[in-house]
Amino acid sequence: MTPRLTLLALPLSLMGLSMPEDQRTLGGETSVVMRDSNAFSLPARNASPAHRRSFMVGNSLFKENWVASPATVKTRQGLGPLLNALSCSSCHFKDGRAAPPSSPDEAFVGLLVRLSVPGKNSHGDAVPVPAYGGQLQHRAIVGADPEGDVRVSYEEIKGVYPDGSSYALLRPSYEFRDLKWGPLPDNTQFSPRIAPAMIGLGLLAAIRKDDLLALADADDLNGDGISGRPNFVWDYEKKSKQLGRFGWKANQPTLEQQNAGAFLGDMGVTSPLFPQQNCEPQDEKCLKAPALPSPEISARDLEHMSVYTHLLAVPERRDVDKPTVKLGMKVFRRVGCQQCHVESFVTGDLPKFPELSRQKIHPFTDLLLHDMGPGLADDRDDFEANGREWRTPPLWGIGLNKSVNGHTRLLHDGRARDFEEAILWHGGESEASRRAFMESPKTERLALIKFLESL
Amino acid sequence: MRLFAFLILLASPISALAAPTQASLPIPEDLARKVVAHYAEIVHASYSDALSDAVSLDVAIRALVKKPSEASLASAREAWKRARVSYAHTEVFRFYGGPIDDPEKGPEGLINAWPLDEAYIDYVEGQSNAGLINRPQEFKKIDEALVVSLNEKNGEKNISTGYHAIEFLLWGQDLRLDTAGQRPASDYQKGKGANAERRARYLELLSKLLVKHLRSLRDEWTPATKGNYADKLKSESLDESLRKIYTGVIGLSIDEMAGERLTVPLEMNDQENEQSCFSDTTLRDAASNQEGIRSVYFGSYKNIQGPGLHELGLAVDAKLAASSMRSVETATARIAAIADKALDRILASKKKNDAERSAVNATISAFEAQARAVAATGLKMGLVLNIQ
Repeated sequence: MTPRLTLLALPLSLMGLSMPEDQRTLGGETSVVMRDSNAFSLPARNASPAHRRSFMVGNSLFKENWVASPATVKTRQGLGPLLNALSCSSCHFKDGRAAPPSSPDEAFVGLLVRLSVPGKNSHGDAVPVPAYGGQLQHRAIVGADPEGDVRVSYEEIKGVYPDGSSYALLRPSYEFRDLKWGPLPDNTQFSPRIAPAMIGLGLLAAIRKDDLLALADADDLNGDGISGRPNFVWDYEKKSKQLGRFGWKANQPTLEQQNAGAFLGDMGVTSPLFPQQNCEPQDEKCLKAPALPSPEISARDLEHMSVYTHLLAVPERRDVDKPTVKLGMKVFRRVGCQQCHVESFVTGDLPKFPELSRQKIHPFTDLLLHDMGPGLADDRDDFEANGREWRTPPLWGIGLNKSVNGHTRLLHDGRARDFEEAILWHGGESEASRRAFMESPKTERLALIKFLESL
Repeated sequence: MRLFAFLILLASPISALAAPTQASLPIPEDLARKVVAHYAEIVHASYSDALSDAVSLDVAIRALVKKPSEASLASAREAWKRARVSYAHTEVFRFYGGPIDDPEKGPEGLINAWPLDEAYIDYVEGQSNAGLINRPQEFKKIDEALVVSLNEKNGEKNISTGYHAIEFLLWGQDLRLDTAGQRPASDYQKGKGANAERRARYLELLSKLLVKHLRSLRDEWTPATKGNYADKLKSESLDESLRKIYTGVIGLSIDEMAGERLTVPLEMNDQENEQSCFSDTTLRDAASNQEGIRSVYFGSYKNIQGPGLHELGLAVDAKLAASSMRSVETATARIAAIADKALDRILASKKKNDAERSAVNATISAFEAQARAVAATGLKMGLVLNIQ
């Protein structure tokens, strides 16, 4: 079996299939050309007319500030009682990526904290912390109380490359405050997670499950040091475990569930999939706070959200012909980034979205879990992901973060200030790649970053 | 083993891998250069007019603040409406990273962000203390730095600057179907309206800021300005400069006009999603947007005449050009027929097969058709556009 696994894990380009060397259209025929702050906000170029209209409605729901009921505005009532944000766009501003606060004085926007205690529940999910649940909601509507607050501060760690040039990384530490049910239990496991960019998600949904499972090599049978593992997570619609694709730990199987989960967990908005308010049994204020009859977002609006989140387009690459960028791509492959950041797939058939089906795409991810070492570990289980494992995040569009969101923060908690720091945090299975990067001459290190900026 | 893996790949249709190879026609170069140069002239003239109307608005707002009365408020509102018409003309110059949307310093979000959450700025029904105006403890001094930093902070509906913030400060919430918003002039009278002085200072600041931003845009398109954008556009490859011009028309027509501004309020049946919901001028905005598209398409703005996209289209494919011209004319006629109506009233109608609602639907279809028809010529020339 070993040789087959190896072979399938190779990028298509090495398998003799002809494809454009530059991978300019990262999202196949869905790709758009846009470089300004709206780069992540366009519908797929090939979106059907009906989907394009629905996309626009979803877009308005995504931007909308939800309000507590009752309110004079007829729509968008149902915020809270507990929440992290008023709108989707608050965290995914312009459909992009959030940054952590710049000082411990600032509250979190677009960064949330998952909580659990050791063990697994009947769905195989992590066990929520008694009285607090699975996520800390640091805001609440009038009449209810926030669960508490959390702040982050950083310690600078300095390091040196073999060639003598220096670097500095930021190690975060988190402090919980104003906890309304008293201190968190000693065995609490927590995981801070930043809001990622929204582009290309429908294409990730369309990658064939078998293609992803073929990349898995849980016991590293091929001995390359990389042991990608799929996460199998609870699907509330199918009521069974399914392959996880979305989220920092691949803990969501579908965009529909991800969307409904975020409406409830982050904004306190009930939906047909999650009809119960997000109140812990002892939290009487939360249970008695004003709310609309469930669901607070209709199936129809969720359908628009589904179209929207499936069809947000990936922008084309820039500067693909520049020599530095080309060199950077070679370095990317030489140091082995593409072993997990798998470059290319051909999507399967997604029945509701012919736009996304049979597309040749370059997401730079395998959607699998990898041990990233102790430096990045959150020591919290998430379905089958252990506390050192993270899902390979896609890299498409990553070079446009600055244009869209005005910052270059990276990684699951936003600790990396730029591409270089993000690479330097790679450990565990990616240790060898990080070393190879560090041992590369400075020109090649910079070229690799230029390549990432072109994505 | 290698063969096995290769066969798996073969099972996926290789034909789907290849990009569609439709033979594209060459760009008629001399004419295309003229079209680009003429476009830059129209952009400059349009921003000049938007600036001069914003200056008039600023004058009217100063008069209102100095002597608040129903009369001075009414004339400020009229000045806002005129300023909107000329600004809406310029929106066809968006969506391609030009000066308005420049990733570093483009002021679009500060000029024209919407829809806005009223309670972010000022009181709303049932919340008399809402908004930054009514929170002097938290926002001590209302100055440029503050309102710019608050704009689009922590959410895309958190709008504190631009046309729609000014609109809300002039009209107030539109709570009735038979009129636009009914903010009283006393909101600006010291000692009468709560926080009247803060509101007045804020309004003045916003109109001053608007003038500043429009001036910067006009300057970017002024040939005499050093390093101006017009020169950059003209010196780019035609693939790139034409792509930008087409992208502006397409993005405005299908995603903004048809999509965000009409489909969304119609589908959500909610005037909260109207662009100019306080002044009830959403449909007039769209009609002015359409005039902007016409000026780029026909190369004609006021007394400035020259080759536009239509002439270029004729040189590429006369049949496509004829159909795109028809689509532009149809879209113009459709929006003109409803431009004077208030969208909130149409949305509220309970009538079955309401004729006005059908007219809005027909306008949406016409804007979509216009985008696709105009794009067809660009695609024929091999331009990379965000539509198929």
